[in-house]
Amino acid sequence: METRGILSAPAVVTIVAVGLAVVAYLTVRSRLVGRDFGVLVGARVVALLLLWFALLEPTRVFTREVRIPSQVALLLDRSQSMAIEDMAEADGPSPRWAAARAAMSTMSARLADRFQVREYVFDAQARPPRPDATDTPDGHATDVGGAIATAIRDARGAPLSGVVVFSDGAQNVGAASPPSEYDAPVFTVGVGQPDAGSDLVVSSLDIGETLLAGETARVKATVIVRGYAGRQFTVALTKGAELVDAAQVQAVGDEHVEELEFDVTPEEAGSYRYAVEMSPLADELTASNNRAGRSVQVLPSRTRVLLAWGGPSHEFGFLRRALRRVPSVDLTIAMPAMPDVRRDALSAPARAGRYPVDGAWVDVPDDANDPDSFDVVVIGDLSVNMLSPEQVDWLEQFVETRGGGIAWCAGERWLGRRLGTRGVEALLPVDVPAAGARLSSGEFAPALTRQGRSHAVTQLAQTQAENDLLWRQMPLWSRQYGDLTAKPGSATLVGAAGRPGPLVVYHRVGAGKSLLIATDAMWKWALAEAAGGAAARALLYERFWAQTVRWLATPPDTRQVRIELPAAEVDTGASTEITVRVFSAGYVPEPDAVVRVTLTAPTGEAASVPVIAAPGDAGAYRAMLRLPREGEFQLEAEATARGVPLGRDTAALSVQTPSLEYRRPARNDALLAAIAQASGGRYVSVEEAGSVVPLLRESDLTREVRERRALWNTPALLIAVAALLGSEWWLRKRRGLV
Amino acid sequence: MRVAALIAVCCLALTARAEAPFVIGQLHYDGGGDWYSGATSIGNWLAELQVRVGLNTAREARVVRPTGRDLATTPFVYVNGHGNMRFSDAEAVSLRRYLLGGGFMFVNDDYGLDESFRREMARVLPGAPLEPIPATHFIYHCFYDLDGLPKIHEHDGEPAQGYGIFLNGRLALFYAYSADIGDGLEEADVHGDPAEAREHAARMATNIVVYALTH
Repeated sequence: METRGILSAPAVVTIVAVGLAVVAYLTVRSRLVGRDFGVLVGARVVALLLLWFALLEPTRVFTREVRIPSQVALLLDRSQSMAIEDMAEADGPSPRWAAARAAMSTMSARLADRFQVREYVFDAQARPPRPDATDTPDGHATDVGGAIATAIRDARGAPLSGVVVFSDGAQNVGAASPPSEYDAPVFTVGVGQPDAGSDLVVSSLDIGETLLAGETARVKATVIVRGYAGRQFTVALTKGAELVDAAQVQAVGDEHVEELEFDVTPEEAGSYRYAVEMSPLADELTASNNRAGRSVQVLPSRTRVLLAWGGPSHEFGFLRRALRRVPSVDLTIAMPAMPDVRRDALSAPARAGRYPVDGAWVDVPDDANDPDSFDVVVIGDLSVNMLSPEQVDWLEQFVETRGGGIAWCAGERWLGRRLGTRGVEALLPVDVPAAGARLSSGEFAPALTRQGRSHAVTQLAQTQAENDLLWRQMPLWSRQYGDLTAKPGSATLVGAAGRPGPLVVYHRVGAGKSLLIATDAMWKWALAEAAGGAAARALLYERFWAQTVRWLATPPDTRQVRIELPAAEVDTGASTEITVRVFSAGYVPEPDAVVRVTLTAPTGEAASVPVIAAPGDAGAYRAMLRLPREGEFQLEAEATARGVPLGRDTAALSVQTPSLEYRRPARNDALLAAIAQASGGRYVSVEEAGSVVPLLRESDLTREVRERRALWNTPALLIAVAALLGSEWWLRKRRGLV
Repeated sequence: MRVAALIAVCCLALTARAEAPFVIGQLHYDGGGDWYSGATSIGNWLAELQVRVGLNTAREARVVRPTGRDLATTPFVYVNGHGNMRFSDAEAVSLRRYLLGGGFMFVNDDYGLDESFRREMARVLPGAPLEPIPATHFIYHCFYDLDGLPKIHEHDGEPAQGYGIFLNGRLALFYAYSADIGDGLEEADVHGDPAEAREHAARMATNIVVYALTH
């Protein structure tokens, strides 16, 4: 029991009142017999004591067990494969999405009285459904395991009676197999047909990022023929509208998978779109997966890259191997003389000079009159003191006059120390603190900036949606060199989530380009992806560097009007935002331009697109495009300022239906059943979804609740006080004391 | 040698501000072999790398399991021990991915490891044989100009021989058979090796790391 303090002000007042009551009766004691005196004093004192008791506010404190409300998470797959219409209804086939959403809605209503129901929709990521029910099945990828993990994580330790997943199981990103352990039973509700019927699929096209003009390259494609056993099909390789080659595929069995190889020899440099396709059939499941295309850059010649590094390191080793695998790169290594350290404790001979490695090794050039030895220079962890003044001059000439591209990779030898005044700081796209950049420990997630989302260096996928996904799912990086400030006019492509300072940043220097990477542990990206078993993703590190080198080798764009596309390819029906950058004659961003953008559809129909100035990004103008059908769209942008024409630019945009969701559109019973089994749940078809409801058990978990009950705030106490004082008054009146 | 190494370690430790860029992973394998053997060798090896090559290294090894998360952040792994080693199927897959993805493994036959190591590597990388590494290979010449794999300890009277596994043209695993580079890196009083033998071991160990970091 709890009370207020015994010496609180009401308590003192009550004690004084009791004392006065006793004293008052003592003055009239001679007029009362002994028994009446005791009754009157007793009644008044007891009444006052009861009031005192009430003023102390006594409260009874006790604990009791209450059951913790259980949660159920309902997950609805909204990926594109859910739009396939293979659900049999009385009035014809209906989409998987409609059947799944109806089943989830029914289940949610039945569970609402027993559980806290949390609903999600998911594709590659899970999120709550839109409140206005406007979600549609347009996600570009499916990650069932990731969605389940999100739902479990969101429960935050509260009892989760189950997770119910409404999906066709067409998992295509994230872990290929379900986790071996779950924290809650997962009930999977399969939607769609397990046998998706007859279908022709071009499931992959491997053509590389670049080809060299005049050189023959091997193109690989994988095709799948389902349900057409014994029939023969033609597979065509095209470049734009031109047929390059064709092959015949003879289907053997119900599911025939064949890898095809084509040889291509592009004649001229430029950007081309290659595609492998099979003619659609009227009775196949979907024609959306009959074609796979890739945009390819055909280069006029090999890129000569000088990789200059301060000494042995993992970063050097991984980068060297990656660049050696890029077919269009001729790689030369420069590593300065071995450090001034002891190499032989005994008298045995030791090597002197530079590190001898099998390959072409040179010094960084020092003849400023001959800056044309290379197209790109990559410098990593090279102390400025390791370069002679002549070599620094060569680098300046190479970038500023010759228009070469230079990439700076961070390292303790140079970015972590005082740079000095050797001239290289003018080439950097960042300002470095006088004492050197501070090396931050701990891991962080790389995050694309707005400019990074549409830049050639950071485009790791064919479409923006896929590219965003790849960057979000990238392994954590570490060892960031902080305290760097991007110089005015530079562009940051990648930053560190939750941390200041750029990670990948570039700017123009004279006629050339300079890019800086503010970490010396990018190799973790390559190794983590490979060790995680994602073979295709392990190549992204190599692709990043291939694109970086290619972009650096390309002379800076000197056009005054430039269209920037987030990706060369866009999914059918998706919206994409383009940027038009406008510069004055002095190549200063032009904030007062009038920009007109025209979009021409594959049918030849042209339409003007509204353009707005981008807030906070001078000289940038943005336009939102909606591309409803497949094909090659043409963009044209024109700009004027104060009535003076500044120029125009054109760009091509390829719109296609992504094949990722349509590679294996059949319901994946094996995956859905495996998830259910591993978690202790059950796999049912959408028609049987109602059977899941009784299987969801409320949790027996309880928790102690501390409660208080006031003992003074009761009618009985008031009645008792009134009765005592009333009786005391009545007795005094009878004795003539009133 | 040891005093200089100690001074270098202390200097680098005082200036260290973040995770060292180079650390040697010590593979903790199952099967009964003493994967932890050679208690002082890795620390000495790291100290020698600081002195001889100028590498910023950690001060001690990082113990990694074949399926552990640390494996993916440790591109250089050292395998040592006597007796038997055994990988589970999951560990074999993990090590295969690691080596194919750019990881490097140096295996030192401390005596008696040969049979189980060859058996397990055949499971890890089926179809990728252990090949003899000739004395002309760059791993013997990339920092110190050596005549081949130095012989540090006598085991069964056989000559020291280096073997390797090449993946996509890259030497991803180097195996020192009947040489015992690891024992040569230990403190002088552990095995009583002469200074010259220990210097040869330090040089070979240096070359292995420099090669792994540059190729």
